[in-house]
Amino acid sequence: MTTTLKTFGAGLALGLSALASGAAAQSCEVKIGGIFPTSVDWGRPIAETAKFAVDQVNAGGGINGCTVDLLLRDSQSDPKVGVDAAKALVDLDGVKVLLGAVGSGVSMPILTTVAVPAGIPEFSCCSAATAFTALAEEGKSKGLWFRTYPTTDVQAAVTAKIVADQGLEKVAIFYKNDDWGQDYAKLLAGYLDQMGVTVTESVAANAAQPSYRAEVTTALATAPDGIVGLLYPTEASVLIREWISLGGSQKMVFSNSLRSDEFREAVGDKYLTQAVGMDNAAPRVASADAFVASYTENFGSGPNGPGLPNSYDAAMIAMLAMQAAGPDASGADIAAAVAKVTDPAGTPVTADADGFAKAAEVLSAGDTVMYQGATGNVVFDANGDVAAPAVMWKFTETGTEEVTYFTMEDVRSMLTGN
Amino acid sequence: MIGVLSYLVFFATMASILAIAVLGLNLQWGNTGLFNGGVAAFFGMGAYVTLILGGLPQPDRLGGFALPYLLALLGGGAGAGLLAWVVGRCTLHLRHDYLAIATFGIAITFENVARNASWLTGGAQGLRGFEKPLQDTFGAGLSYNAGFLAFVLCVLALVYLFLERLVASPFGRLLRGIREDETAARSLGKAPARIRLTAFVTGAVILGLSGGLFATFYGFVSPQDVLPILTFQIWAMLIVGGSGNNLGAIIGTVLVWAAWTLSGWALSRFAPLDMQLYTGSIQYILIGSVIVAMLFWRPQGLFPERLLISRPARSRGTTSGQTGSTDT
Amino acid sequence: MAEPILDIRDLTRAFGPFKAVDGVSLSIARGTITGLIGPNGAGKSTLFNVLTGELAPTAGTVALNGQDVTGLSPDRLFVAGMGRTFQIPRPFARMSVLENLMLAPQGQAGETLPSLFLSPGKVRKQERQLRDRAREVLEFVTLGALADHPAGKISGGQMKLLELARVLMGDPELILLDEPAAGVNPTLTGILIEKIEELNRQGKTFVIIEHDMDFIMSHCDPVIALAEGKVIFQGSASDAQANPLLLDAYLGGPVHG
Ligand SMILES: Nc1ncnc2c1ncn2[C@@H]1O[C@H](COP(=O)(O)OP(=O)(O)O)[C@@H](O)[C@H]1O
Ligand SMILES: [Mg+2]
Repeated sequence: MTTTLKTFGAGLALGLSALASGAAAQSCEVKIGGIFPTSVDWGRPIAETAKFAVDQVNAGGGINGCTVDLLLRDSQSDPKVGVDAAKALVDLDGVKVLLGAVGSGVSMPILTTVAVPAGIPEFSCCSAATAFTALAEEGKSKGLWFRTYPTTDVQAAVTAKIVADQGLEKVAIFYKNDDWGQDYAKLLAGYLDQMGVTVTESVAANAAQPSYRAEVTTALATAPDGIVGLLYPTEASVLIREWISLGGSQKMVFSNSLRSDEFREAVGDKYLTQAVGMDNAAPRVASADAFVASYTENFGSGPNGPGLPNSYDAAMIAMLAMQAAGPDASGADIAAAVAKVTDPAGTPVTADADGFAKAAEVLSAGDTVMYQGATGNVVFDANGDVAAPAVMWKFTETGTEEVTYFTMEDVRSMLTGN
Repeated sequence: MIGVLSYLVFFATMASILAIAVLGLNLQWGNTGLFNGGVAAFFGMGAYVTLILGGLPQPDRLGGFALPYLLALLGGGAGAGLLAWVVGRCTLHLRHDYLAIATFGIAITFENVARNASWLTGGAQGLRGFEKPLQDTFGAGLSYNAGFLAFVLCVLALVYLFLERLVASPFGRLLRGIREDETAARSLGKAPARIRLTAFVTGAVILGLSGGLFATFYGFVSPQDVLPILTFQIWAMLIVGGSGNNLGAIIGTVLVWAAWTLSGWALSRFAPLDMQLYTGSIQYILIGSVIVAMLFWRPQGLFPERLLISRPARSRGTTSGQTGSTDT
Repeated sequence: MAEPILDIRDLTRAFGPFKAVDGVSLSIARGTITGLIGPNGAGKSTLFNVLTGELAPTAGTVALNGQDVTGLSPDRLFVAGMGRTFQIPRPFARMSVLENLMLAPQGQAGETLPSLFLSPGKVRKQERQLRDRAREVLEFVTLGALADHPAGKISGGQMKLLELARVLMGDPELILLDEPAAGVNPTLTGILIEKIEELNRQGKTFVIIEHDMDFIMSHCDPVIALAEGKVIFQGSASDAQANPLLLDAYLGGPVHG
């Protein structure tokens, strides 16, 4: 036993002295910390993409002339492990910026327990929970939280806009009774209220019922001009059929989940001529295509996993902000500098080595830049959230087709109302 | 070096919180022989109840009763105890393997309820809205963490002393007796069902306290925190330390948690750049190997159970009792 | 005649179609040392197991001191005054001999959590008394020197004495001993018999399963014989010796230990 303890102690001492000497060694090196579930199959590409962004920056001259060293830690998708890794990165390695984590359950305790107390900004590619927005609104994230992944809020705002554009004044909402549906319906009702559209009733639909007659009757009794369906095809196929057969309005607005042939065929396209829906869309800008091209060149295949463009942008923006904040900047300075690199009025820079070099030049002259990223022109709102492009679509006899494309800027203007 | 200190405080806090959980499991498994495969459920119950009782009121959610912190924490322990009582009434008559499966099922159920009952638990997004106690007095930095560590260490010490007293008491003797030979214990007028339930519930209360402290530390809990990996981690700590030995349980916790986290740190620091992406998997292999090696070479743990608790005999003639020791 | 301490009526225990105990009716008189004999597989141990609640009876009733105790659990029966030892000893192997004894007594304050922590003084006092008493009983069965040995490491004969001592700690009035002398060397057997007779004089009732006919004939009265689950003889030791049925049951020959 004593041997074990001694070995352990010796190991610890070795580690600590290595740490001390490491700090004084290299001429010029900047460390940033990354916490990703690298031991999970879909997590590793997200980390690889962040690493790719770091390589680009190093190729573009590094941050303030220093080589960027990305310290990757595995969160194992375990909050305890992720939080400990974050704490070690901040305390032992002295990083000023954290990239990650992926799951909200890991990102949240890192934010509240490590990042905010230490004043270190956290840039997440992929945590979607609306809880972060709530935390920011309470002032508890201290402006240190940024994420490049759009929340349900984006879907809700666009859906509300579509409802209003259809000229509907009184609508009933059917929503799937789960996380997503509950969140969506609540946010949508808020937006509709702001736009002067009355929500006559919000009806929850549980999954896989043989009939939704009770739900349909409840909504029908409130005599809406039209309905909004935030549902999955399984329940919508039954529910919407019942709605139409009982004489409900055929003016309907749907969530992206109903942009499906299964649903269209189950209801029949002749009943869906007045129906439209919203969907998320890939950004239609040159920078997004450029990312796909450079990613494909580097990795040999396209960025076909969840969160890859988002991870790239999170890393890039973090490093641009470090560049903008200058050497020896504190975490808070770096967080504050994010606005300087995502300024819609700034000089556009591309999301690659050349773009970073150019940004460094512009920033050193005291000007701001607009980072044109893999997910488009990223702009964070006061809560660290981003907008994303969207489309309105309708049904045809053979499928669906796009009616309107809302750019990221369009969507952002819809969000500011909230 | 302030960073090192800050990290060590942080590390010690989490290790101490986990050590409390391992002590709870040690009472159930090490001392009583109850195979609890659902550690995460009782830990989680403590975490959730503590935050629900002690958190601020939230829109769209029951709970947020803003009770004084110590009450909330005790409530967390009581909640876990209550869950154990209900589970124990139904399952403690089961054989080991069935008990393990039943409690494992409870943990899965608990996680699912936490994920879906968003009106109470915040659902998949987790439970927010808890203010760490005394944050105004201590601030948010190292001094707060050090203060909290002191508090956790106090709880750990209390739990340790409580259990040491328990093990050395007639109750502990009874637990060992039942574990050694249940039939013989029953033939001497002991009712194993009641004693087992008491030990199971007491262990669960301790697990719940640990969960409550865990949730306090983060000011947050989500279903991610109560996955089956937690049950595995707690078991690994107990087995490495030595089940049946409270001090061993604590040391086992520190060693395993250190291996779990320091291996990640060391790999991220010293592994070649190309390997960085694979350190997560390497770490898993290392941890798994250590536990398997332990099971092979020292299944009783680093600190095996001390079985003969009673004081050594007063020295007397040592031969008289040995007469006729040749029979079978 | 005084009320019997144990009254057994039509007791049956079946394992599937096979009746190990088959309609046994018996009375055990208070203050006796009753011998229970019969060939291997006669159902003697099974009868003990049913009497002490280890096995549930298939049919029949058991009364202890006139109280119906049929189907009670072993712990309740011990508390009611019936103690037993096992044919194959069951010590708490990894506990000390002394601890084995200290575990047995009922009503220890330290056995429940509230009183353990709320009245530590009482617990300490009880423990002291218990320890003294356990040492006394150990001395009585001549195991005093082994008090701190692990119970699993003592000899088989010593284990039999330990089981007796353990039961004595609970102070039951009726004690059932399952083959206490089997595999025990003569010196220890002698001690055992001496102690049983001494306890019997103090008022305890014994029922003893034994194969050693000398043991039975010289120390037990009355004697009951079981074969194939049924009572085939009840009477005094001397009658037993003369009974041809008994010899038949032992497969046609007198048996010696
Ligand atoms: N649990 C059991 N299941 C099935 N048969 C049993 C069981 N216990 C005892 N028996 C059978 O009952 C009969 C009586 O056994 P037992 O009471 O141990 O005999 P004795 O003690 O008189 O030698 C034997 O044939 C034995 O095989
Ligand atoms: Mg037998």
